[in-house]
Amino acid sequence: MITSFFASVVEAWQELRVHKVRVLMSLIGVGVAVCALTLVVGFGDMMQKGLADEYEKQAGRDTTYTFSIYDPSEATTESDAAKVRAALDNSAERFGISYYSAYGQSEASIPGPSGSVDATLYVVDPSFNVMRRLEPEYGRWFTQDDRENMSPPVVADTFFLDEYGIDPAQLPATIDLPGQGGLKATVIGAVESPAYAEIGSLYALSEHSSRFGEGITSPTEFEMWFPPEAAAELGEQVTTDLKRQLPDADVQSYRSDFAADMADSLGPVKNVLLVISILILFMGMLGLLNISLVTIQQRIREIGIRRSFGATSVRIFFSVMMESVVATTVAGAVGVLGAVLILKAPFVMNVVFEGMTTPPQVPFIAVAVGLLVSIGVGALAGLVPAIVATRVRIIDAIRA
Amino acid sequence: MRPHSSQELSPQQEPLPSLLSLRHVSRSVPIGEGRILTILADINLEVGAGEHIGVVGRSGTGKSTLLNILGLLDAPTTGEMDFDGTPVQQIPRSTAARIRGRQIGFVFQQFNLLPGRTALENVEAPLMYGSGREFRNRRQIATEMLGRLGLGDRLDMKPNRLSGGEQQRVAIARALVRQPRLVLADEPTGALDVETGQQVMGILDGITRESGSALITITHDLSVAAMASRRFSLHRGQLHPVTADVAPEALAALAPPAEAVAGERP
Repeated sequence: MITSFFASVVEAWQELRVHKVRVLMSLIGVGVAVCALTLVVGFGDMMQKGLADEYEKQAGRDTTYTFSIYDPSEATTESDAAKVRAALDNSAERFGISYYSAYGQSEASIPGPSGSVDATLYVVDPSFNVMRRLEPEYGRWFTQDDRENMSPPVVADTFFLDEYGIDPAQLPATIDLPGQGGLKATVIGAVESPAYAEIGSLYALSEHSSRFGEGITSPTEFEMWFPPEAAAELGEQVTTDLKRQLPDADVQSYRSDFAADMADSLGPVKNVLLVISILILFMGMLGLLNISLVTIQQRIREIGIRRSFGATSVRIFFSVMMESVVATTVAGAVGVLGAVLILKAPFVMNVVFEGMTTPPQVPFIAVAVGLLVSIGVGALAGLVPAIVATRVRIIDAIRA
Repeated sequence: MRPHSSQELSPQQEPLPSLLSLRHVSRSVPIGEGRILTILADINLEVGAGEHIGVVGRSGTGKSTLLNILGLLDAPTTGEMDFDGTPVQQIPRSTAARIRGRQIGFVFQQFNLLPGRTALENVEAPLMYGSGREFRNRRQIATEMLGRLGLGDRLDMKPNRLSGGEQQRVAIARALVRQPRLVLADEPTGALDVETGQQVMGILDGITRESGSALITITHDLSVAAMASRRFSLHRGQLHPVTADVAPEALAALAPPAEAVAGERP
C-alpha cells in the first residue's frame, strides 16, 4: 500500500516532467487563481486584524462596556470619587472582572521650554494599556505603585514629546504642570502616536487628574473589558450592582468598543472579493479539466501499456488523480508564495495598510486555504480524467 | 504446448510442468442485430514452464485475440483456462492485473515504449507495480537488465533517439525485468528489417531460455516461428500443430473450417 502510494507519486512526477509544457500551460490558470484566492483571504484577514487593532486602540477590546456614573445633583467631589471607586472595586471583585479603568478625556495645556504645549489628557488606571493595546516604545507604563506617587507620573506619546522637546530615549524626564507653582510630573514612558494625530497625548492616573488643570476632575466614566460570550449579561448585572451600591448616582452603561462594527464595514467587500476569486478559481479548474481530458485521450495507449504491466484500475485511477493533485499542489504553492510576496511587499504595506501603527502579518489561514484549495482543485479536476482512464479497454488502448 | 485433443509430445521431449492450460476456449463478439462473430473456436493448449512456442497465421486469423487471452488482457467467451494451476477464465480484473504484472511480460510489434521516457525509465516502469523491494531497487534492476541486452550505453536515451532494433531490445528488457514466467511476443519483428528482426529474435529467444521463461511468439513470419521448439498455425480461429516438413498453410488448409461465421446468439 505504501509502496503503491510512493510509486504513484513517482509516476505522477514523471508524467508532469515529461509533459511539462502542457502541465505548465494548464497550471498557469490554477496558480493565478490560487494566488488570487490567497490574496483575497490574506488581504481580508490582514485588513480585519489591522482594523481590529486600530479599533481596539481607539475604543477598547471586544467587548468593552463604558459605565457613566455621576451624581446629577452636585459636582463630583474627591469623596464622591472615592465612593465610586470603592463601588467599582466591589463589583469587579464580585463578578471576576480583571480589567477595568477610569476613562476621562480633557484638553490640557502644559507649559514647556518654548511655550505651552497643548495635549489631550487621558485620565486612566494602570489596566488601561492592556485594554487599549498601548505598548510603551520607551520607558514603561503605570503600575499600581504609581497611584501613591507624589510626583504625578505620566505617559506621553511621541508627538507630545517631540513638541515639548524631550528625546524619548532619554526617559524618564520631568515636565512642568500648569498652575501649580513649580509642581512637576515625571514622564515615565512613551507610546507611539497615531498616524493621524494632530495634537499630542498624555496619560495620567485618575488619582492625579486634578493636578493637570483646574477644570480637570476625577473621571465619571469607567471602562470594563468583559468576556464576549457573557458581556451583555455582565453589563446588566454590573449596572444593577453599581446602582445598588450608589443609590444617589445616575449609572448608565453601554457597549463602547467598535468590534461589532467590524463585520458591517468589511463583510460586503470581503464577500465580493471572495466570489470573484472563486470564479477565477473555477475558470482555472475548468481549463485544467479540459486539458486533462484531452491529454487522457492522447494517453490511452500509454494507459494500455501500463495495464499490460499489471496496473490495476484502482492504480490507474490513483495515478491520474495524483498527477492532477501533484501538479495543482505545486502550482498552488507557487501561487501562495506569490500572494505572500505581494502581501509582504513594502509598497503594498505602505499603500494598503497606511495609517496602521502595526502592519498585520500574513495570516496562516490564507496560506492554508490557498494550499488546501489547490489540492482540492487538483482532486476535482483529476476525477473525470481518472474515471475515463479506468474505463479504457486494455486491448483497444494498446492498439490505439 | 500441447493441444490435448490432437497433439502428443514427441518421445524426445521431456514433460514440462504445466504453466498455461486452455481447454475448449473460444472467443466471440457481437456484431449487431443479434449476430456474433467467432474469432477463436475450441482452442486446446498446454504450455509447459520454459517452453518456447511459435504461432503463425495470416492477418485476421485471431492471433492477437489469442495472445490477449493468454496474457489475461481479455477473457474467453467459453472454455476453461488455468495459469499455473489456477483457473483464470473468470477471475476479477484486479486479480488478472496482479498475475499479469508478476508472471507475464509482453513484447509488442510497435514496441510500445512510453514516449518521453528514457530507456531506463521505460524498463523501470513495470517495477513501479512490483513489491517494495522491486520499487526501491528499480534503477539497479533496470540497469542490469538493459546491460544484459547490450544497452548499457543507452540508458538515458529516449525512444526517438534509438533505432528500431534498440527500441525492441528495450521493450524486451521491460518485458523481462520482473522475471516473468511467461513472455508473450506479438509480431516482435514486424516493425524491423529482416536482419535486425533475426537479431532481436535471437536475443529474445536466448534471454528467455537463460531466465527460464516460457515464450509464446505470435507471428506471420515462418522463420521467426521456426526458432520455437514447437509451432502452431492459427487458421480461421482454430489452432493446428505444425510438424516438421509441413508448411503451416498446407496444414491449416487440411483443417476443418472454423466457425468464423456469424450465427445466432445462444
